[in-house]
Amino acid sequence: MIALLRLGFLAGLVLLWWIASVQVPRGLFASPLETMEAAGRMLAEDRLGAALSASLKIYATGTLLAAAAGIALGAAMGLWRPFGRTLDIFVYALAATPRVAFIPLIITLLGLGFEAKTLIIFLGAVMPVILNTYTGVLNTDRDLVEMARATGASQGRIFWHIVLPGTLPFLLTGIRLGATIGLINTVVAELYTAVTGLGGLLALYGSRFQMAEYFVVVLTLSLIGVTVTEGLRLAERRLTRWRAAETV
Amino acid sequence: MTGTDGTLVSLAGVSWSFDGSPAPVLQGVDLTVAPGEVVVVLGPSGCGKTTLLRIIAGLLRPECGTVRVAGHAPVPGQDSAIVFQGYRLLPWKTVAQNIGFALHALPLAEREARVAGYLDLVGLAKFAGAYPAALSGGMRQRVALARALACQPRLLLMDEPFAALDAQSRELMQMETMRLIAGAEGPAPGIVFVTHSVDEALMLADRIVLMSPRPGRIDQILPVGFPRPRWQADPRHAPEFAQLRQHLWDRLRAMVLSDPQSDFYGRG
Repeated sequence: MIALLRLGFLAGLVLLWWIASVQVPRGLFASPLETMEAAGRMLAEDRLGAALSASLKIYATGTLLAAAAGIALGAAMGLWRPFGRTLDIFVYALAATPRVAFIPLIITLLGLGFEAKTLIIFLGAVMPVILNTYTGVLNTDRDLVEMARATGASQGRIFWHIVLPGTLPFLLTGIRLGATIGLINTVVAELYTAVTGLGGLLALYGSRFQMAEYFVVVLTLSLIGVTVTEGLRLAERRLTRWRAAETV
Repeated sequence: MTGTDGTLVSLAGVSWSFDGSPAPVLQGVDLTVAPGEVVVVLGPSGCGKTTLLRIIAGLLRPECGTVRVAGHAPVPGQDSAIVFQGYRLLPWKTVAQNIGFALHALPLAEREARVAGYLDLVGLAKFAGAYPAALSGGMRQRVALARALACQPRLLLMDEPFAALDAQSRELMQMETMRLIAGAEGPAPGIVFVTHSVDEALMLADRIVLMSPRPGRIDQILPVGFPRPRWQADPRHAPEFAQLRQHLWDRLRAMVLSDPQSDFYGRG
């Protein structure tokens, strides 16, 4: 039922898009049909595929590094309190700073290539992972830790069986937020450093008023975003199955 | 293996206070528990009975005095298992995994057999794969009990295990628990049971240790001689039961009325 309503809503959106494209003077906006045709051309000429793989490469590298580093740092901050209390104010400060402000500095240090792009994505994606993992570890149920201690469990066992599973819902939310920011920063990086990938295509088609091609790129980015976040949501549901029972 | 004098637990001159606090939570506690004996620690809030349990479990180290469990200083998980107030099941583990949690040192096959045996004992074999969130309070309590019994501890420590249950379930669980402990294989464990319910103490105890608050110390130790098993011979109609009950209530009331930190201070 909901799936049907959603399909209906999507059809409505396409209809609105079509109406808009008829109203706006030609050349400023592309109709759904023109966009479809442009997509076909771009795929046939492999313009889209090459850009997509370039973008996905930096996006995946930056986001995965951010997830690994964010989990490690967030967990260390939560487990070792003096470390966490010393650092957390700085992490919050950095998270509140618009990290695009660092782009000129990153370009100065790393140039315009893969490393610079990956770092821009990393810096965007890592913050929510750190902060959510940190919060999750701090929220560890002390009663459960004491229960585990009473069975003679080692620190390692307490971490793997109590702290980590309790942190998991927080951590996955952090990764989901990080992946979204990572995608935004992918486009930002491609627009501000060496113009490549999907971001590069946006700049190219935007400046040439090739709106049909431009829309194809936007839709591709939106598709990546939806695929990644829905995939993570699915993983979240599977990994926290035990919570489902609470609603029964 | 027990202490040289045949006791399972012995405490001598045990005191404990929070870091830097001048008012001790426990002061000069002397107590012994024999193998297989059920000792109920009874007292009002603030008498340090839960702290006492943690010290016997080896989770807290006494500031002064000595603690011996089975002849040596207590090590968590070695000779004792705890049944906590509020169950403390791991929500992300199934019933079977929760029961097996403390048995990780056993080889897999043996662990699975042990878990299956205790699931049967508490009548939850059908729920082996269920998560705790799907269980009722009484069922969670039985899982928590099975988890503790599955370690086959020499000493079972119970911290107000029925406090979260309603009055009816509570009474049924008291009897059920005693029946289950008696039905488990191996020699019956010694039990230290903490409660603030007089009736619960009278139903379960071989000896009642009455504690007074601030500082927590032993007020008196009373033997309870009703025949066992008490789920068959209900002692509640015996005149001795009423006498003991009255006596305990009088002492508890006196403690609470003279404790400046209690809600009922000076209201006698």
